[in-house]
Amino acid sequence: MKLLDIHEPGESPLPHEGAASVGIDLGTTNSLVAISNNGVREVVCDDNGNSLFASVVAYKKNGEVLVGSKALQEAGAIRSIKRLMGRGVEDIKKIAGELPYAIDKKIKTGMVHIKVGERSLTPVEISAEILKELKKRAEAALENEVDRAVITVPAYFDDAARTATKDAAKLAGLEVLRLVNEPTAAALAYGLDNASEGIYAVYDLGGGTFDISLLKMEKGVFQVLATGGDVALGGDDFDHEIAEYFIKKYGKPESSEISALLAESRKAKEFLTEHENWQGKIKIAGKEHKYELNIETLNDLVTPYIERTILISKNVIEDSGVDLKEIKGVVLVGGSTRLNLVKKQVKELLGREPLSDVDPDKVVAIGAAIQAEALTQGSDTLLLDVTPLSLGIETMGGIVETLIARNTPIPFSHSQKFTTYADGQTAMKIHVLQGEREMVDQCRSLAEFELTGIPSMPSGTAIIEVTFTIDADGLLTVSARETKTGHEQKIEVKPSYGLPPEKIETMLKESMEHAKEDILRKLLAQSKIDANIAINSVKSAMKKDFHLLEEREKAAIEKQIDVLQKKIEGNDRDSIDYEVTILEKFYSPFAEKRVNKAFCSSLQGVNIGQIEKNLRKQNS
Amino acid sequence: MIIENQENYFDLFGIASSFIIDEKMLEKKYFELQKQYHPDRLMGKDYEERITALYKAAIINDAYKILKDPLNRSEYILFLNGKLINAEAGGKNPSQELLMEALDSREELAEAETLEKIKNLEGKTIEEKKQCIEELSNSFSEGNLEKAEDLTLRLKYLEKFLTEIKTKKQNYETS
Repeated sequence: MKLLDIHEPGESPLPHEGAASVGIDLGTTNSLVAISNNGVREVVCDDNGNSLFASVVAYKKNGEVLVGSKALQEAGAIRSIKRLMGRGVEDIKKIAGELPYAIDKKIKTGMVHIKVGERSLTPVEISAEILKELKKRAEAALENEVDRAVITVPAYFDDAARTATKDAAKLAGLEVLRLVNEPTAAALAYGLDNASEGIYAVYDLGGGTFDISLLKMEKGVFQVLATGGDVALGGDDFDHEIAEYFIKKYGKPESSEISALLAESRKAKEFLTEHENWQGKIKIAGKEHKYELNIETLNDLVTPYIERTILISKNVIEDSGVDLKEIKGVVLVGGSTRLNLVKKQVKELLGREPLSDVDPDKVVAIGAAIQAEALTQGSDTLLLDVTPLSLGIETMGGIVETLIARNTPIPFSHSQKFTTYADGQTAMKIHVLQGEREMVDQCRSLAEFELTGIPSMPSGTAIIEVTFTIDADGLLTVSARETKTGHEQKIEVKPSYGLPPEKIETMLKESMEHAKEDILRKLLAQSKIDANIAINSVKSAMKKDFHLLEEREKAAIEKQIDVLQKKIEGNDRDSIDYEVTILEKFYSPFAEKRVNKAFCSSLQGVNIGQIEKNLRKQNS
Repeated sequence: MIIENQENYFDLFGIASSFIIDEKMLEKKYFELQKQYHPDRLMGKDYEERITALYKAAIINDAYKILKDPLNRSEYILFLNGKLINAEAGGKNPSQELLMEALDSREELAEAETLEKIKNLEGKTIEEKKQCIEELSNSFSEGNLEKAEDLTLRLKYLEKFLTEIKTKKQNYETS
């Protein structure tokens, strides 16, 4: 989540003449990259003719990073990273036991981190490695530089996951032309190829996510009517169910056997999409077992998941107000729709056979490529999408008041007026949430921020108009204005699960020098520098604004500086970083006071530019 | 839902300011406007132009949402005539009759304990909603804004009640 007015002015996609744009389907299990040029659409293949690129990353001890099929055989290879995009430490607790990653437990707040040897990486960095490979692949095929892309995301992705995807692209050196919802991209590719008119459903069951969208296609306009889904439901779950079945039958596996067990489960599942019976071998607790798995058993195992997708689909159709009979066809997308049970259940729901002339693996990437071409070369088609989740704010008693309802067409803007409830009140807290439930703790917290520097007036006189805008990527931006005095205010919205822009910059620098240098030593050095900078700026702030500090706060900060200084003398980067975050935590209430002070003292009769300048001066 | 100081949404779409609208025409105008202002159409333009268009596209979406839906459209026409449908904001209070009706229906929903009964109640309410929209349309044609206000309140209640029925229905279907 970002502020609207901090986009770089004049940023335009046109100056990149010569460089090309592509469409990327960044999937949980597999990713694809496609190119569209003058109506010729093509999925890029590797030397062996494979278009599917395994979404797997392995970090070797010598610093080398392997991606795709090369990474598959590596011990500790990271799979299904998409499941963690935009997830916070808190979200992961519930599913921590089931994850095939080593979560970095030292990181207690914000975005989840994964331990990879000595390093601690975010899902954004790991996804960026996949995107970099796809970029390389497309550049080799095009014999041209690729610097812009349309990237698809599950329609049901929330703001944090969308932001994380955009950040990953940035790290990989790609400008995101647009984030397009996967089912919408599929509909675009299918609809254009078949000159379809009318209402269509897109049922998209991938490796880790499920989406259902209803679209109306008419003379080049693709209008999404309603969408719904589950970002944690997909083929991965089927594999886990099969593995559980083996465990029940043959006992508990060693931890070293788990990944082979999952791979075998997947092989069995894939085989059973076209056959009735499969025979295989698995090793559990050191013992090899021959087994048979038939289609009935598999169906029993996955039925609960498929039933859930059918229920979600039913609710989405009902929400849209579209009559079942009005739906002209259903497009199946995602590898998991190859299961006959899925086809059967979808047919039962909609009363018609799903369309068969679609490649469920490639159609999303092709749609993305078509949109990339449309956005750079111009086009007559128009995509009108909706926001999948309702957006609201916290009100009294922890209840969420909806401001923008789900299935609202985007871009969309909503202004809400707030007033002060106490005399002389100069700050106001706003908590933004995403989700369909009534209570705050049942929804996804996007951001909590404070509007500060409200001119001191009697209660109820200051009127603050806050505008929430969802852009065409489905991303939220917030701006605020005090209407009585006309003071515009920039609100620093800290994304609860996002990466601050500075961090992305650092990551960019890191990744560029990555190949040549001993990365660990460099990172350690960088952490030490960062830690010293943090200490110096805290010290200087304390010196300047000592009167804003309570004795207790001062003691805590000084003690933490001591702890951090000791760590800097050592060589453990993680603990240096960790102590810096603790220092920041102690420092932040003080920093807030300083910001408030700056606003208050400078608000009288100055414009916002001046305030910023003052602030910058104070902070430098 | 209503953004102040905004141009009249009927004018924006170039259609007559009336409760009775041609939905096909409304959609056609909507697509035309979005083809002009949707951010996808302005990718190569400079920053200022793109930001202006972003807000314009957002307003067009808001206008479409309001004009398409009978309840929103009715509230909007009343708003243009200086009448607010919101008791807290100084609007008209629901009639005693409507309050009694709401009470009775809620009871009926609470007592409906099979999926079939819930679905029956849903069907009945959808019928009532259709009728209410028709009466509303007549009141606007007759220029009877007083009556339109009452009917709008009733329509608002019926829609809310339908959502409650739907929630209960979905709970029954899940379990």
